[in-house]
Amino acid sequence: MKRCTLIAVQGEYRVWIDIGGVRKEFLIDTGFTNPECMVGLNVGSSTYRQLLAKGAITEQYSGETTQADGSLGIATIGKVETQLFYVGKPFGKKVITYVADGGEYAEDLVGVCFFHQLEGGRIIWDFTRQTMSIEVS
Amino acid sequence: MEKREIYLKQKEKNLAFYERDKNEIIGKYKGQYVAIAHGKLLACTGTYQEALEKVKNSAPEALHFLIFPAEKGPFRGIIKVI
Repeated sequence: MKRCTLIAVQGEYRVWIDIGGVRKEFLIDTGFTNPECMVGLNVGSSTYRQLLAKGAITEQYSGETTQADGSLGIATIGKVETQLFYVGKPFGKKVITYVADGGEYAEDLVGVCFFHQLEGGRIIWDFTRQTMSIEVS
Repeated sequence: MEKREIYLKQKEKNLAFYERDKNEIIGKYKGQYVAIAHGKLLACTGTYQEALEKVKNSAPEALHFLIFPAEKGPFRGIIKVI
């Protein structure tokens, strides 16, 4: 097992992910999920457009979203290859997931369904130390 | 009628249209993106972006619409962003 440990900064845990050749820092959001677990990432529209221009998105859908305030809407989602990074190096296997275009001012989020793709792995959340350790085989 | 109610009614119509005509959609438009709004087929295009443009131009007031690869069907479930 390989392990990487994230330390909470102002109550937030962040990881680096290469998404279609674009490496970005994502906020871990356990509230970001979907029943069939297709969509693992959420990015701002400028990043989504960048991925499209690079040809990194291979299949798209209109997807229904619900925000924290209960409002319903439609977002574009697209299939993309991703890779978790830790201290500048690939960590774990590549993950094929869908990314949502969250709108112009959307935060880069990584949700439950991204981590579910890391079969054989787990996350250990230490509340006392305020760390999150990701283990992958 | 409230916006949410309109949205849900449109969604129901769009999904009902898909369920009714899905065999035809899959058979006829395989390899293309399909756009459905207001309970009818709006476009069959080569790319998602073309289908989205068609929806924006032909049904700009639509709160709910479906765009998907014909052979795969629409995305199911709701993406929670909290």
